[in-house]
Amino acid sequence: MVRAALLVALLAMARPLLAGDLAALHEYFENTLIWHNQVTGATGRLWLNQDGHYFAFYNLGPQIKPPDVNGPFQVEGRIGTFTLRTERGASLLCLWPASPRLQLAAQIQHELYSEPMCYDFVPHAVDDVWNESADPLHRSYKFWLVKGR
Amino acid sequence: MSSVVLRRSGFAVCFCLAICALAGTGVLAATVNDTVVQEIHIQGNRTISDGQVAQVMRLKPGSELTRAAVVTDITHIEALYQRAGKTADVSTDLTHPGEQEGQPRTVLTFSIIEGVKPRPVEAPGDPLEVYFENTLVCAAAKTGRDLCHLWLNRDGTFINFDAGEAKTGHYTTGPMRPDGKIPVCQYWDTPDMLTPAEIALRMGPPSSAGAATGTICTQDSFRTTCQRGVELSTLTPAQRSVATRSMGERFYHGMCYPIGPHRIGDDWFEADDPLPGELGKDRVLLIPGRR
Repeated sequence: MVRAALLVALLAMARPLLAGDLAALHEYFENTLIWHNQVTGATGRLWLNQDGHYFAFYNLGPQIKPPDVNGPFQVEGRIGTFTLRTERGASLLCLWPASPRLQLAAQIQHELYSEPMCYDFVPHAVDDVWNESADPLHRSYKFWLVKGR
Repeated sequence: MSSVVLRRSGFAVCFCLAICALAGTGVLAATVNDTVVQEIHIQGNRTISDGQVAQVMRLKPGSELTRAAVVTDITHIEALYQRAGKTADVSTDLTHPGEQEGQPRTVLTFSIIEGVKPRPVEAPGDPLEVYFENTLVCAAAKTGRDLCHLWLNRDGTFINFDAGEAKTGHYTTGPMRPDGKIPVCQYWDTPDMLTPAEIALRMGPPSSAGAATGTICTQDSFRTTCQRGVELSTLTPAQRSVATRSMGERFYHGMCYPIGPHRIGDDWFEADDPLPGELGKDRVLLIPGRR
């Protein structure tokens, strides 16, 4: 009985998105969240899909040398699944990069939405522009939620 | 690196000067004709001479150009190496110098890399299979900087992203070219560019004041030909609207790129792109996974 309950709990946790969360994110579906790291100068964009998948793209700026097959790349991208959780009254956007999980330079730099972790996330409306310290290093970011992709 | 050029001197250039759909006020586009090869180049570091290689080839300048004929010649060159107790990989590249100036030549280059195991000339299965689940990186030919990353999907869709934008789209493919490449025409789902002005990158060459020019791209038989530096004042309103398209609008209407048979880890140059960058070509890498 305990095992079955545990399994149900695990499956619930593994679901990409809880039905109740859809309303909070509906402004993000089919639209683009753009961010600019005010410290590193990196920019990026995030697509959240209604089916629980996300796409994140990073522009890290010119690199010190031209890439070979292993990099370094100015541009990187990542696919995965996400959940939106509420903990102690705060919303968290939790990202799970798809396997095989490649090591990205964006992740090494701790750029926003590049790591398999939960980020503080306050849903916004299309055309909103705001500033926030959003990454694990509490660096300052500017955000735009723009219509379309 | 040695290179020999087989050229049919005085060969009647067999391109047709076609007035493209946009024309009407003198905009002429010479369409590429890949049914006949005009020049054949042989290049690579080799101990077997150009003359010996040319001797076993059936294709000559002026020959009918087909995939089968190219495959036959690759087989003959590989056999020549086998007879000499050597191995070599032979790849081919079809380019069209002069295309953007309206006078394309059909040039076939055989690149021979001696001492390596030959790759299968015609691998079974979908020639684009290696691109699915992996990343095609386009980069600048001179600086080497990566400019865009392309994720082709099996279902005919793709995602392309660069330093400025990320776009979804769908693609169509044309018949395999004589050099084994597949023409892939990419259509973005939207022409809209979303990046806020504050962080937008300026794309393309700087525009000089007083010289209003544009780029006209036309598509024919899974091939996109672009003409840069077209003076807007010489164009009709319809032509002008095409010549002043943004990158988003251009890709929304479709841009075709030849994508060749490659392996993960390959790093090469492509000179047959419609809008090649530095040095008239693009650097391309096929990297593992999606990144």
